[in-house]
Amino acid sequence: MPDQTLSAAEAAQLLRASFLHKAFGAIRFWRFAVVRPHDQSYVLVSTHADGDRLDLGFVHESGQGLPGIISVWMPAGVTLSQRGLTIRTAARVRMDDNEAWTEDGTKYHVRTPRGEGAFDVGDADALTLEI
Amino acid sequence: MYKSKLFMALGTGLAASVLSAGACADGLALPKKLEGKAVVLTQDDPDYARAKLESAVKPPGMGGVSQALVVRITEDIPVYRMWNGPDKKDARGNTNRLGGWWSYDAPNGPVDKYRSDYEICRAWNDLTWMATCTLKKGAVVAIGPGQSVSPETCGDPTGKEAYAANDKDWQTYVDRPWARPTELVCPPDSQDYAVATNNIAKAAK
Repeated sequence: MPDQTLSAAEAAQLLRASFLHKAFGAIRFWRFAVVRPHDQSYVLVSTHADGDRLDLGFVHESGQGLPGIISVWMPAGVTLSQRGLTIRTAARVRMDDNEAWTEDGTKYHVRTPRGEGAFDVGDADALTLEI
Repeated sequence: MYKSKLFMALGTGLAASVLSAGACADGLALPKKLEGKAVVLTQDDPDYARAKLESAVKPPGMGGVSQALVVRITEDIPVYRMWNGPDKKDARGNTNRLGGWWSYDAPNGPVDKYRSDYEICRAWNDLTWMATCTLKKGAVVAIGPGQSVSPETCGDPTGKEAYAANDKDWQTYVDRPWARPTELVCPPDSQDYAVATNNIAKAAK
């Protein structure tokens, strides 16, 4: 199992090579399911890094609608498996008007159109895109 | 420069953990409502994998179903789905009329009861409109009792929005319905209706 230390740009490049065009049906910021798991399905169509921020571009698997972006600040611990992509830690993750972040790694905060709250990080990954 | 570690894990760790969490349909039997309208498939059936149990079955607190049967529909049946209506689109311009989660029981009662019975977080679906589609003979889907959903999964800032697992009201998982137009057939959305909040079987006045 390779253990490579990568910059956000290198991670973007690697995900472009190994996860591009993969479909995923669950999107979680730590344990927050941003969309109902496996109700919809999305496909990764681009990866891009801007400084310490990794942008993952996606479209609905049906091909309908516009592209969207999941942004991950300070991603670390990227894992690919047959069940999808996880990023172990991040400072902040955002998709549309949903956002989650951690300041000390023990709690993560969630901000949605319904408000803001905080939960224990525990053993949760900062981002999960589950196939 | 912040660094990221990449681990390429090509095993089936997550899938294995999900399966061990209850994908095996111990003790499940075809519901009476589907008797004569569906048959249960075994794992050696070539169509079994099409139901995508690994997507439907989830651990406690994470929604989906707690365990599931894979069934092949043998007679057309209506299936129901609540959605946000034609005027509410996501940031990409899509509605949520089509999706993976359906019910084969005709909907009735208040919206809040339906939300609780089918473990649907408020952030996921407004449950304001009803679509009725047809699961066609030959379709292969997963059915099973609803799994619980935690406040964290809902992203509820108050920490109060949670739904208990429900053995009574089973869910129907149709994997990627937009790619299965011969298995799930829907009329134009003009036939859908905005529900009355106190009885979703009826249209709002």
